Amino acid sequence: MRRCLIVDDSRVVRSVARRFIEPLGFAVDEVGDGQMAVAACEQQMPDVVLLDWNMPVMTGIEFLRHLRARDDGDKPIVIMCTTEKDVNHIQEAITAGANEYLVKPFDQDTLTAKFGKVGLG
Amino acid sequence: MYLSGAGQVGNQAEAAMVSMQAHGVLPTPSNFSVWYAYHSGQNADLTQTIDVLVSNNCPIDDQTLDELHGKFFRSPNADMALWDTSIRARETLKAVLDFVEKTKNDANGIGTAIEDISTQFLANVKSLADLIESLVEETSRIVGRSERLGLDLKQSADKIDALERTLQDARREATTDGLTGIANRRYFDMSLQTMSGDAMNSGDDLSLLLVDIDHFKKVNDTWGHATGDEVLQLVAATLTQTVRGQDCPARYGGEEFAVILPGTPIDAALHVGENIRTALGRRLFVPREAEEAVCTVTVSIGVACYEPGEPLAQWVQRADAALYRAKKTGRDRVVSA
Repeated sequence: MRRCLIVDDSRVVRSVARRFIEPLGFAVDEVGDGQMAVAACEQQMPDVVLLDWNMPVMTGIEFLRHLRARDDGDKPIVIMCTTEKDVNHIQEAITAGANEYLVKPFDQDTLTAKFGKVGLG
Repeated sequence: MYLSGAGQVGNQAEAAMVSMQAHGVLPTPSNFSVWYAYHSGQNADLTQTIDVLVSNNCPIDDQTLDELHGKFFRSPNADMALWDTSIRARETLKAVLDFVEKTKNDANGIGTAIEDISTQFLANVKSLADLIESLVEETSRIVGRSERLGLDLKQSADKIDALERTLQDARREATTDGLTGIANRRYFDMSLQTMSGDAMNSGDDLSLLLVDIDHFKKVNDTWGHATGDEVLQLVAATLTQTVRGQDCPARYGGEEFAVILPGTPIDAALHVGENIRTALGRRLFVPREAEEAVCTVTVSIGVACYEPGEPLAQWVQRADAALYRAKKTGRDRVVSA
């Protein structure tokens, strides 16, 4: 089964995202910051990461750079999922290796459309 | 070949214009350069960035366009960078000038000290000194030009600052309703997205009031549009005075207003709605045209609390359905979804 890792310090966001992602046929794991995401990826590399930007301990963009620097870190598809929606943030995420960018708040349609755009519909 | 190339450019320019209009982007030269590049796909980063904005229904506002233009067409603070460079160039030239002067004096000194050196060699030293002299003159001219360039750049930087201030004023006007002075629909839409994103993150309650003036058409028909405008101003003022600083009252359209209430559960939002209704009820409305107080203005209010994960349009629709019930059940009341 395809695996999705949700990385977000908001319990509400994690639970809403899980509710929308499980019906797409994913086994879903959740962690609350970038460092926990690093540990989760060391255990088992997910197929897709839904990644928040602003988190304690290690931010989403720091995790993304860390992930892409790993030998096998180019495999997971990363969808940034954040309230940050200015040009500089979008550019920074694309440069760091994000595959898609979902602006919060999201709903089932907007999230599913982003998964579809990266071939995970 | 040339003609088909020109045709292609023309088609892309036309597509860019049509798309700018569809996204509410003003066709200014800088906006056009951004949008033309987006449509021609010349710059993958620019195209990807705009795709992200469009696919997330982010408003392509003036600030965003300015950021796009700044990021992809003009390096940030390019003018100040030029100014710094001209100062650095001037300092470097001064150092070269000093060095050349010093070397020239040394060369002359050596020339006079060693008298037995052949005249041909001395002539060579003389021609070297001439060469250095002309180099010094040329360098001084360059320094002069550099100083003038610096002055021009400083004037340009001042002009840019002035334009920036004008732009900020224009932005403020673009988000304000001209008649009532409160936020307009455009600002409301942007705030709704930002505040619901924050609420989704924090898990805090976020409520919405839709406020509609009762029998507004009758006011307009009876007293005319000037009086109608006064009623709109009265309601806007009452909203502003009744809500807290972090709340967002806005003119939603026509005689309808909206208030976004962050950190407010549905019960507290109903209470805010009730406060607005009673505050209006206490005010006797005297149209400027009329000789005596004619009426009180009443409103109907629909209230709904945001459910994280629901489409924003659906949330607004729930508030609107509650407003419809408030109207149906007799007006001048507050109803929750």
